[in-house]
Amino acid sequence: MAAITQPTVPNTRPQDQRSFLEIWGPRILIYLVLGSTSLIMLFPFIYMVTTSLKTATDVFRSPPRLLPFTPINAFYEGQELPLYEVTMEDGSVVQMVNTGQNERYGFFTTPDLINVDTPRDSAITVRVPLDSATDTGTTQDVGGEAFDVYSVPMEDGSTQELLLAFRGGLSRLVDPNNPEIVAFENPLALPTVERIEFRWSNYEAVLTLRNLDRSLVNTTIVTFAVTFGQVVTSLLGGYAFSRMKFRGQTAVFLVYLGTIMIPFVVLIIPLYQIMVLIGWQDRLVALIVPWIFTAYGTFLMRQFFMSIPKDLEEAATLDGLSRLGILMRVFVPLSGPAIATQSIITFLYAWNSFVWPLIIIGDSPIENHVLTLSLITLRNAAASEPNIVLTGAAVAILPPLILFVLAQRYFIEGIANTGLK
Amino acid sequence: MATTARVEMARGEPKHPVSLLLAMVWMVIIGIGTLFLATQVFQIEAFFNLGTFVPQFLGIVLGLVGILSLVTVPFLWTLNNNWRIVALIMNFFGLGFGILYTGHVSGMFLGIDTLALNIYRNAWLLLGFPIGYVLVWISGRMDDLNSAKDIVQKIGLAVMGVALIAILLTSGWLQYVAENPGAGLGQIFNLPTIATVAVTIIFGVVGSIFMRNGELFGETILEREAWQGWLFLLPNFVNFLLFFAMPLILSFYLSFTDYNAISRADWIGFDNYRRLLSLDFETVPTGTAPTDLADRHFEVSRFTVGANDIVIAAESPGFWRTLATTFRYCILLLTFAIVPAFALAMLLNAKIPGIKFFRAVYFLPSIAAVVGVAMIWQWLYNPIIGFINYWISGFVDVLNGLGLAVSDPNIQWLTDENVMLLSVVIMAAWQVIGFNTVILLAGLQGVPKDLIEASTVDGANSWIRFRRIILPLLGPTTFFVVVTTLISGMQAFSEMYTLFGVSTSDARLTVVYYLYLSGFQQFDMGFASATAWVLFVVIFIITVIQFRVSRSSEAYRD
Repeated sequence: MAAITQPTVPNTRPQDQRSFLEIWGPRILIYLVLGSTSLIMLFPFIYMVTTSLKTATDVFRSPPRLLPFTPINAFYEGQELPLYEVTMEDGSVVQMVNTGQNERYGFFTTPDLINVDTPRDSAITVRVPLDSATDTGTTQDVGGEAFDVYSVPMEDGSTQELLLAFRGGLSRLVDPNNPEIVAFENPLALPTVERIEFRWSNYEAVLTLRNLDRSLVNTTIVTFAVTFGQVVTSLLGGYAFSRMKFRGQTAVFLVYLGTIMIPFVVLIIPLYQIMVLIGWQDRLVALIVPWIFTAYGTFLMRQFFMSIPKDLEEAATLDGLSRLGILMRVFVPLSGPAIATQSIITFLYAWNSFVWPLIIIGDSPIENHVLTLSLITLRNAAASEPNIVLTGAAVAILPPLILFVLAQRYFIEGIANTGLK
Repeated sequence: MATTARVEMARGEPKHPVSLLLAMVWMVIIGIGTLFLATQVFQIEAFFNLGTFVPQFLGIVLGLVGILSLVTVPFLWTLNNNWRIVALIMNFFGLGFGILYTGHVSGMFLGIDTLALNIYRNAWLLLGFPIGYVLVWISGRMDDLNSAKDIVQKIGLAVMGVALIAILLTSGWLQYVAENPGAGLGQIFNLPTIATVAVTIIFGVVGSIFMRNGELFGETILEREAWQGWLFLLPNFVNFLLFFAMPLILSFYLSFTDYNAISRADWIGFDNYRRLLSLDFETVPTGTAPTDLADRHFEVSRFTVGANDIVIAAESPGFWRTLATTFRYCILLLTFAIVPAFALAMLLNAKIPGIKFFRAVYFLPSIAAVVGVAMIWQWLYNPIIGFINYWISGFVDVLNGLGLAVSDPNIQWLTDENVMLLSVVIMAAWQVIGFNTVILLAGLQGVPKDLIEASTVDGANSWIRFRRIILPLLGPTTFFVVVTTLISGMQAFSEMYTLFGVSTSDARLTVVYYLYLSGFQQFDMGFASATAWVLFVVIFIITVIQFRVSRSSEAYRD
């Protein structure tokens, strides 16, 4: 805590005698904390985007990797085969393809190295093709288990009597550029040669094959209509509340204040019934028209209009402007920030809304779904394809994020101000 | 009123322009028509299964409107300005409702579906809007004296207008309106549409007749504000009446009925509330198997007192369990979403460069749709390929490397009943921390600096400064953050729905989920309405308590 408040004293003043370290030490600490927190905040989004660019097989890798990898193939004898990284005996790493030809190998070791319970986990001293070793026909008993004894040719040309721990098939791998370099390995245990590749085609697939293009269009239309409608009604209502006196004004204002207290769940059942009655069930209009009224937005505008000096309005009245003219010519141009803030809040609300669409158009044919609903459908249909599901999530999440980056100022200032009032 | 009377006296016999007489005739027609409609509506036996209350209520409201409309006529004859305002507002409300109804009956609203279906076939037309906007923007930057400014602006607006018309023409929306399949008549010129349009137009015309006759009625500027204010409020208010007030009343009514969307709703008094809230207690020896008590009460929970268990049973055990889950969720959410937000806000309040960047980054999660976020976390939480367990394993490895024998917990985030709620809370907290931070930071920046400096001079350390000065001054902001977090927490639904899908285990469900299941899966809508009102009362009580607490802590500050 001591670290936090120190920098509040401006360090440019002459009386500030603190050293460079005293100023920057705490700051670096703060930056470290803030930076690691930002990583936590950003990570799910980064994960979403990188996963949306992966292949289906790449997603299910454990341990997980962040970046999308794709195996590199090479041509060998007319076939396109995946490349593996093979560590040669001299320590060099060669990229090889699996020819698919198997050879039986014997894995030999000494009696003291053998793992009796699971021979496959034994420390192996040498492995050679089974044919090159000769079975001595004798067995040796280690810890109650009998192991065959082989005479195994060693690298230096000598032979040695060793126990056969286990047998196994090894694949023949070949360097496609240099076919005389050959290795025998188990390809499942080898790292594949991969490069980072972004599969943009996931987006194409999600948009066209999974119907998210329709949902995107629907969401956009609904969001723009609701935002436009709310801003217009709020401008008019906010002006009436802030600049006019009329009978019933206080009562309506109090009623509006009260509506903010009412949670939406109270309205959801009758509103659903009303939509059914007038035939708006499963229709996009049910997501637009009932949402044009906003007590919250009306207040926001009222609060903002209150801060506009009365003189401006009086001058306009003298110029012969009507009430609507004053609103359009004087107030609207001055309330850019307020309109921006409200548009953004409404935009987010409409774009992200889920419960109401679920109830009112959740059962409709998929053409009328908005993005949030389509995401649920997509998740259920592509339960085993997280890359596809997260591509859908990206389609739903990225447009507001881009808007945020563009209009960040209005977002944060606007929301910070609403909290204070 | 006194002024209008004087005006009348001065003029002697009032002279009525023909338009005003016609408007008065219209008021009579509307009055009689509405009254007739009211009697018709009032007599409807079963109004879409909603029971007799709804038609009776609507009938009374319509009747009152009709009477009001008739009452205005004699006062209009005597040129009473107050009643002119009433008539004027009535007509403009008629216009508002008429426009909405025209949109509905003509198929303009239902045609939005067609618009959405076809709009991307000619998506390139949408380019007209940015192009037009850029032109208008350029014209705004041009020199005032330059005559080209006007031309550029007009071209820009024209481009946007043409784009709009072209989109409407190509989208099939207009064709839909013309064919009007929604009305089932297959024609644009069908009687309901024509009648609605005609009535709506007459409402508008009569309204403007009243509007223009201010001088005749001796209207003052203040009196003019009376109707102008209502006209400005009108678009807002019509929607409020139709889509807020009406459902609200209906919801309250339905909570006293056995409404189930299929058969007729009958008034059953407080039965839904009784069914929802009734509790029963019984003492049984410890360890006795769960008992279902008499009167269809089912065990919810039990406490051990001495050798006995006190069993709490309820008629709707699901409600109590989900309520308990909701409270647990809220308490966890408050801890996870506000304490870190406080810490972050304190850090961000340091006057160092780059703060705005961090603030923006923290805010990002609150912008994303809950549904999408849940999809991401679902895979982050995956026990095998998810990053969270991967990191925990890595951390465990580090601890083991330090010589501590720790076993990998391998948490099943989304299936272990003990962890599930925490999983949701972590995700939800991740989403709202940034929002809370921004608001708390704004509050912190409002704390007067001289106060803090004075306390520093007085020798207060950071903790005392935080506890004694910053926290009390932040009272209202903290109140706002706590209340918004609580209210959203009490209504949590999407998070659970998307992470877990439709399930029946109460341990992971919230009250809204319970309401959703009873209302929209079992169609027990009267009961679900009662649940909604109980939830509202709970939220209201919490808010009031919160308000009291925050006020008393503010009093302490003085």
